[in-house]
Amino acid sequence: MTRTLAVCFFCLLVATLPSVAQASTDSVIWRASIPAEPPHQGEVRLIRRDSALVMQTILNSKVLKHVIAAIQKKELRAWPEDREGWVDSRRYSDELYRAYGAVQTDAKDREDKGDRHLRLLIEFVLEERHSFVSFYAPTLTKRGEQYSVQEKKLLKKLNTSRAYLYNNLGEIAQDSFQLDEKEALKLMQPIPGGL
Amino acid sequence: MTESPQKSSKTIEILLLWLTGKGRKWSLFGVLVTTLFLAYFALQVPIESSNVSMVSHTRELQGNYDSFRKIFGNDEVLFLAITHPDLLEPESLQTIKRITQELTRIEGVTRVLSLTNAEQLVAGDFGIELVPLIPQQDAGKTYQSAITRALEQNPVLAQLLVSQDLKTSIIIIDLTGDIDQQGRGLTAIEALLSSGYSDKNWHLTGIPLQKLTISRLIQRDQQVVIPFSTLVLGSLLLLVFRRFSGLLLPLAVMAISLCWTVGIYTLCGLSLNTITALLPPVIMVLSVSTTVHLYNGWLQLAGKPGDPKPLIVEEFRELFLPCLFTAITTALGLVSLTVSSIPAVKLFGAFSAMGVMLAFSVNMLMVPALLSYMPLPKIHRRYDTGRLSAVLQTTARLTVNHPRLVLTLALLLALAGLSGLNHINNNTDLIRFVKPTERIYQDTMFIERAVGGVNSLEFMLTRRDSSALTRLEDLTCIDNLQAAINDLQKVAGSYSLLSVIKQLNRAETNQEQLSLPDNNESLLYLFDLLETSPNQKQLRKLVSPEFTTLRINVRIKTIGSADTAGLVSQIEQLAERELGNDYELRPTGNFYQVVVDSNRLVSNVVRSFCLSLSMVLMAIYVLFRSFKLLAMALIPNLVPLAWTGGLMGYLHIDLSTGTAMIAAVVIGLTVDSTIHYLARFQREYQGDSKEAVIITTTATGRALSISALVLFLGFSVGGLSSFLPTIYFSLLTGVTMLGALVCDLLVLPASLILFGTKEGSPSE
Repeated sequence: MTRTLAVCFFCLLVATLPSVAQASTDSVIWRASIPAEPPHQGEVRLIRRDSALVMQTILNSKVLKHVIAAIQKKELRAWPEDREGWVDSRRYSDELYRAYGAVQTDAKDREDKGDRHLRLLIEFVLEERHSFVSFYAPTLTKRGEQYSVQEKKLLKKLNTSRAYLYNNLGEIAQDSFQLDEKEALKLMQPIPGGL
Repeated sequence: MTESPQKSSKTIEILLLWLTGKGRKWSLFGVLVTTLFLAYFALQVPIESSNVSMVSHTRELQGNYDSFRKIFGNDEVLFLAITHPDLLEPESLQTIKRITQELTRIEGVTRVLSLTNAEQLVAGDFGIELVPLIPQQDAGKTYQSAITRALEQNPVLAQLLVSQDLKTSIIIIDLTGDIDQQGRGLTAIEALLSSGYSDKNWHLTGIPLQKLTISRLIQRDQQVVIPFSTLVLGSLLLLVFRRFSGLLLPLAVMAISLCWTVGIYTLCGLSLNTITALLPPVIMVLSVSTTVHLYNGWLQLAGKPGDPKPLIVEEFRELFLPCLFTAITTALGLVSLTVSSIPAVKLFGAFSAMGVMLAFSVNMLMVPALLSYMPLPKIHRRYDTGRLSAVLQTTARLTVNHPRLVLTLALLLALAGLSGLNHINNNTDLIRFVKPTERIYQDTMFIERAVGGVNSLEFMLTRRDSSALTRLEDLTCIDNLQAAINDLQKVAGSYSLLSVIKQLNRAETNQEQLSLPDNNESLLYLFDLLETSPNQKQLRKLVSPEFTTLRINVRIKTIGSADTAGLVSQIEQLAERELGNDYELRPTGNFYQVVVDSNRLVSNVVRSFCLSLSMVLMAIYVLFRSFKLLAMALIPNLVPLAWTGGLMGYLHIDLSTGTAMIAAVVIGLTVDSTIHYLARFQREYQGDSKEAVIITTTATGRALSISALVLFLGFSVGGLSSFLPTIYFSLLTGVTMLGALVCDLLVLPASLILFGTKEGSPSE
């Protein structure tokens, strides 16, 4: 029994370790304000987190609803029904809207009523064996045009297919960093766990 | 004037001896060198390509306009109208699209808005979407109805971009504020339309084009008026003197005076504008006057024996002071215009006064020196015979026999004139400054008929507590105000940020109607949306970055400044009613500046006229030292002005920038004849006023008549100008000179007979 408990505790510890340590091990490969033309509504960063590749989208906007709408529109365009990953895209869009709802609800309880900004953090994580999208309610600080995440509360973790996540990383890199396909793929090398 | 007459006479004599003796070569050489130097600059006089000098620069007015331009940018736009019976057919829309694209590529064009690139905000699957106002492709049978529906749903854009009969489309072209780039842009636009779309029915107007047209017309006028002035004055001189020297000498003085004045004007870094474009003809006319007197004096020496030089010195010594005095009084009349608040009028006053004095200097430096090289004339033509003499004798008899009748008639006519003054409207209408035959006039009127108007009044709205205009109560008040403004008869339409807010709200709430949101929370969200809009440049044309200053653009029908001034005060009253005291509405914009200046014209006229009159009266008093003569001199100078004023009133000629100058200019000119008459009368008076009047009228009357004729014809040449105010100024000044001649030969003598007999002499 004690042994079982010890194994469970160890497993739990291993599972929680990355999230505790990730801030310190994040290495930013590329970052860009979005949209490219001001007024910016956030920042997109490509991060190497240990062996994982993370596309982090920080949204800090007074019109988050419209930013979300714009993201959903891009998703719809990038993932037509006949493309593999369409189902993941739909699930992602649905969860994104739910995350927005959660952030909006949280904002109503905020003490500072004058601040109408809503904040949402989306991470596309490609690990050696896993691929998922996480939605967070973050606490942010801003220096110039660059954000830093002070805290983040997980709202939802959505497992997706590896193909969808990998391809979406490429789509986001091209769109947000204004790169062509080759440059975007080069930026993402090495792919954790390969293709 | 404190110098004793003998001493001043001696000084003049020494100067004239030098000018006809040792110094004549130096004097002529000096004039030649100065002329060559200044002619170089005179030939390069630039033409103003903006109407910056046509509006006053009072601190408040300019401050408002500067802050407007700082916040919202350039308010001057071009309107291009394309007319087609089937405007909404794909083919016509394709043409409009092509023109729009080609215009966008032109340097100096910052934005082009037309039916084919206008956008509207609609509710999309994922929130608000910006979509083309009209469908981009042929959507079959429903295409036209889709367009009509889009126009119905966007009344503000529809009103701006298409005529009510759906046959004329308006393309709005924003130009850069940089004048040079603007000029190049306009030329390119005209070239594009003339070459690529000559088969299309297009009309182009707007303040930038009006300015460019004015600049071109000034150039054209200079090419027409100056040669024609020379021709008219030359013909007159030839007719009067019948000698080549009598033609060449005044023309040379005229050309040199013109070179000097315009050369100095250019050296001062100034450009010719609608008003200062009058400088050449005015200087030409006024410079010739002194030459005529000097040359006439030289002719009087005909047949006299002996060395001509002392005779010339003797004759010119007598003429020097009267010529100087009349030049001074003319210059004083002109210099009084410098009290005007309009820079163009100020410049005209200052430089024409300087030109008159320069012309006097040129006359004195050149004429005695040149005439000293010539032998005295051999034949002395008799001037006391002929038709003119007969007329003058009749005139003299009339005044002597019926002085009361003459005076009563003159005063009755003056009273009739004064009653006509009531009919004069204080009105400046920039587009009606040009003749109705000009293309810009016709195009403006066409677009006015199509979409209501091309001129705009701009208003800046702020809260008095400087807070942002983002509350629902703010926008509701502004909405009510705009609705009230749109109901005014002379208003063609208005737009402000509210049009965008309403569109946003309709798209956000997926409604049919254009309306404001019903709560502050929703409104704030719309402002957030605006703040994050990628189209910030366009947004800045409607509201300041902090949403503290809102622009309301009121498009008005083509009305003059008088009606516009009334409209502005109507709008201000509406603002007071709808907004209350918490808000401040400041009118501004290029067109508004013209309106304010026009309203100041009356006070400007009164000020410059009073100054001119008082300076001229002072000059007369200094010369004659008699209050009685001063009072009598007033009558023949004021009566013709009353007649001209009445004429303006009865002929419905508006008081504008040009016509407002007449009184001040004319008083300085007409008084010259009065001075000449009174001086001669004093000399001839031996105790019998009637006798003195007969001699003076018949002797001096001839010179006065010729002089008035020169001025009348000289000024009348301005009638060839392209600008109505210039034409009115020229013709009315000429007519007033004739009126002044009639008064000097009839009213002044009648007054001298009636009021100057008791004391034996009008001098006290």
